[in-house]
Amino acid sequence: GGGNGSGAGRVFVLGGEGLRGEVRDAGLRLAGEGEPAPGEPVRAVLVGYDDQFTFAKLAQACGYLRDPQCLLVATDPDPWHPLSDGQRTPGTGSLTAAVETASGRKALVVGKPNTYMFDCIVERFGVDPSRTLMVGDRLETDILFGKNCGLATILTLTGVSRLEEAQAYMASDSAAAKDLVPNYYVDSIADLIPGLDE
Amino acid sequence: GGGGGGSMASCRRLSGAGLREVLGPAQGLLFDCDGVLWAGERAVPGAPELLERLRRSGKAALFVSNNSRRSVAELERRFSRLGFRGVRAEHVFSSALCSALFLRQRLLGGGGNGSGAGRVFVLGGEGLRGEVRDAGLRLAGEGEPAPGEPVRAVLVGYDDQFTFAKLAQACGYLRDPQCLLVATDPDPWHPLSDGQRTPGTGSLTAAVETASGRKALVVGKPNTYMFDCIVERFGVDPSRTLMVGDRLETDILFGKNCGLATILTLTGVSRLEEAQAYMASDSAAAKDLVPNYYVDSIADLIPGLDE
Repeated sequence: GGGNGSGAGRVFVLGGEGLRGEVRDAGLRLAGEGEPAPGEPVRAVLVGYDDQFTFAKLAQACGYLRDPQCLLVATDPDPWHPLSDGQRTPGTGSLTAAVETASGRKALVVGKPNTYMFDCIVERFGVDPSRTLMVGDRLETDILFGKNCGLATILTLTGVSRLEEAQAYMASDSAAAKDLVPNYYVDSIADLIPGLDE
Repeated sequence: GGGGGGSMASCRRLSGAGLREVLGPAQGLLFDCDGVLWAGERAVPGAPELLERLRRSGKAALFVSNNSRRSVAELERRFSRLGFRGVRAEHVFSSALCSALFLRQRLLGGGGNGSGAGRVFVLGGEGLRGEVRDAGLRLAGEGEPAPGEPVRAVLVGYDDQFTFAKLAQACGYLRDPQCLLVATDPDPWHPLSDGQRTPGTGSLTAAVETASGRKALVVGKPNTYMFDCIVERFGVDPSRTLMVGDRLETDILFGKNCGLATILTLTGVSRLEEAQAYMASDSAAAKDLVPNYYVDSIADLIPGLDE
């Protein structure tokens, strides 16, 4: 949790400058930047949203992952994201699927619906789940995250998930599907305004 | 016997009298290529002699490979360059060829010159692209599309020039539920001669499936489509044909799925211990990955053939 990173090994990051900067700011050294110090192996492969992803980088990641001590971490599981023009862009989840298949390894996924990010929030702000609401647009990440963290959930319809999808999960027999049903929904978060004091 | 009778054996080393019992009745053998006939640029010692002895014994040798990098014409030259004589392109069934045949059937109904059939977006190299063209199909990105010529299929093969942009482009085409998603093979990775590994088509397919929300139709082993292509061209009798391969999850399962007795050779990917682990497993699916027989190398089959 601390230290200046020397001797900790390097991190091979599949992602853009924003992600790389956060890793550096956390005191870690990135593979591929500068001469590696002797005995400074790559200790983790981090898969993020990498619009410069290539076969060569996939192969390089797999090379590091031959070492079972090298971690495989993914920022999030999202398979794709909508763009404003109605198109879609591939998500980190799709790149992670390639790395997992080619390496035979399973990734540790940091992002929603997994709860690690809630742990980060609680550590910094001491949030009480029973007095906190989760608001999101994606049933499989935001709403499930809320459920996993013990938060009541509100689905907003300005994003990815459609009301019909939530209703389909509600009608489903599967126990897993129930966890994807929000407690509440609104057309937009602006609809929450009347619920607050003047 | 060679085919049906031998199918009761589980992971038995083929040697001596057993070798003659199994090979004697066989009319033909199907061989995987990488890790069986050659490793990189080196033929497996004795492999060219085995094929020559098969030819002299009047037994057929056909080749079925998940490798989608090369056209069958290139493979014919490769066989010759590595010392294998008498292997012609028509004997070689690669996943590149069979994927092209599959697309031709689905998009053209088996014939025609491709006009109006739509285009194919290929993630792969020139060998794969050539096979698709030779099948009478037009590739997306080549020349001006004729009006009303949508992309009707995305074909994922071994693409060492794979990029995020191409992944996004493929997903764009796949928004149309009528656009097929086809993969040449499911292989997750392949060993290289220096001990490293290269990612396989299966890993690229996983990216496309996840990003598009679609499931790919996989042409290659262990699925049986390539066997259908072989039967259509050569009329093979599964009960008299042996499948020889090095990868349990593709070659041996393929043999099982096609009704062929199987021989694992240990010059490639799978280790004997893995076959034995599948044999000891309780899972029904694992049983299908157990070869009937194994050899250290296909050169070990030579004594089972007539002089």
